[in-house]
Amino acid sequence: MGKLLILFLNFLFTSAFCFCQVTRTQSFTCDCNNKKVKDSLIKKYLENNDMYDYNSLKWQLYCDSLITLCPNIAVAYQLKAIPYIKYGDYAAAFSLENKAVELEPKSWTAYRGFLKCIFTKDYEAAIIDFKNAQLLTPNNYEMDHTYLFYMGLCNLELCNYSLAEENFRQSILIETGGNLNNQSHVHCNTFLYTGILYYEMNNNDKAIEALLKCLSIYKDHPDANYYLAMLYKKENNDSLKNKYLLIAKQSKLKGYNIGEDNFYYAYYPHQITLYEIEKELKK
Amino acid sequence: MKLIVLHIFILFSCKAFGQNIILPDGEFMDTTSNHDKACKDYNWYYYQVGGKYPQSSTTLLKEAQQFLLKKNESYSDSGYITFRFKINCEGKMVQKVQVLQTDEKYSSYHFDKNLVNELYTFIKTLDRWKTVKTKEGEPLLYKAFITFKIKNGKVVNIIP
Repeated sequence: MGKLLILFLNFLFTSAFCFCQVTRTQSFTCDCNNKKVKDSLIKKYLENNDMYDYNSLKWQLYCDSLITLCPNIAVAYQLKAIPYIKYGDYAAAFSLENKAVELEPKSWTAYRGFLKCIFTKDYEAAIIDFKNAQLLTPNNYEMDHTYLFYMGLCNLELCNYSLAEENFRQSILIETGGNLNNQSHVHCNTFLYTGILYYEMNNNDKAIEALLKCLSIYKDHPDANYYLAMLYKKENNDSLKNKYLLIAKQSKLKGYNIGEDNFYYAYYPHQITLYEIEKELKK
Repeated sequence: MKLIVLHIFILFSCKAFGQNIILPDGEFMDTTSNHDKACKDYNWYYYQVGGKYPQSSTTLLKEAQQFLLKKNESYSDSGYITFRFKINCEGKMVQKVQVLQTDEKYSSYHFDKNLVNELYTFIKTLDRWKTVKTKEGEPLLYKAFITFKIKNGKVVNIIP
């Protein structure tokens, strides 16, 4: 049934498509190395009105149809992998992601690194991908953050603190365009994780400075308020500890979150929930 | 006598490395799947309902590590063990739990069955799952999962 539908979708599009031909053996062939052909196929198969629900059968059918027609279109593999990565099927997801990277390393290496960093907590492997991405497309961004930011996150989680410190420093340099006096373009979570890094390093002054910078951008940031409270806890300042814990709690109850698009799918490193805030308040 | 020893060895090997229940749609820890019909199933996922387990990965990791410590077993493999299941209208895990296992490189793999069973026992202790209703107040089931990242037989992270 699935194969018939793929054939139908192939027929539907290829019959009206001048770059693809029906061969003597009744199979369809396209000039898959022609950029115009690839772009047209992507538009037809992957950017149509049916491609809105990645959990639908149609989503997989369109991806499969395009892969059958032109197995060298990387984005088809990347899109096909989405439901798998979001529901814990890593064997299926990464065989597809690997294919996408193999076909178009410049486009998909950093994305795979992002998945390994945020989704599968595979920090060593994520760093390898981001190092490669940095060579392929230097100082670029993935999901709102520099590659250096993600390397910083991974090194933070691996307790490679001096490496993480250097990564975040370089990320801020890229985000400010080289002008450290202009920090208005720095993502608040670059400051959040710089603060968490210094918190872990017991460098309280630098941690407080970074977290306050984060809060100056996003004052209801629950995680920044929580870690600020934890810093004041270290300093035995109960008044400020409770102040920031209560702000963190209120922020959570009002629905504020870490400010990352993918927080629905996975907890970010060091991310806290209402449970941890309330547990601290009860102490 | 040798034959008996061999049989006993095979029997124990099967327990340790044996597979779970294999069905056309995957490998499962159990096959029963009863739920209250009033609890509607529209195939929603945890991420559509804010249904990640409401404790941070760090907190849950500590709990899992403490749980496994009590068992006092040692294992050596590395990779991922994922349990996929549904959460019912009372915030309880519904049976027919799927298990997926990969090695560190995300290739299909089978861990020691005892470790899989221990982790399965652990997830059955989780009792803070969110309950979900539609805008119209209709109670709903949703799909959720928990993955254990294993390194040298130890749980080192929990997803999501």
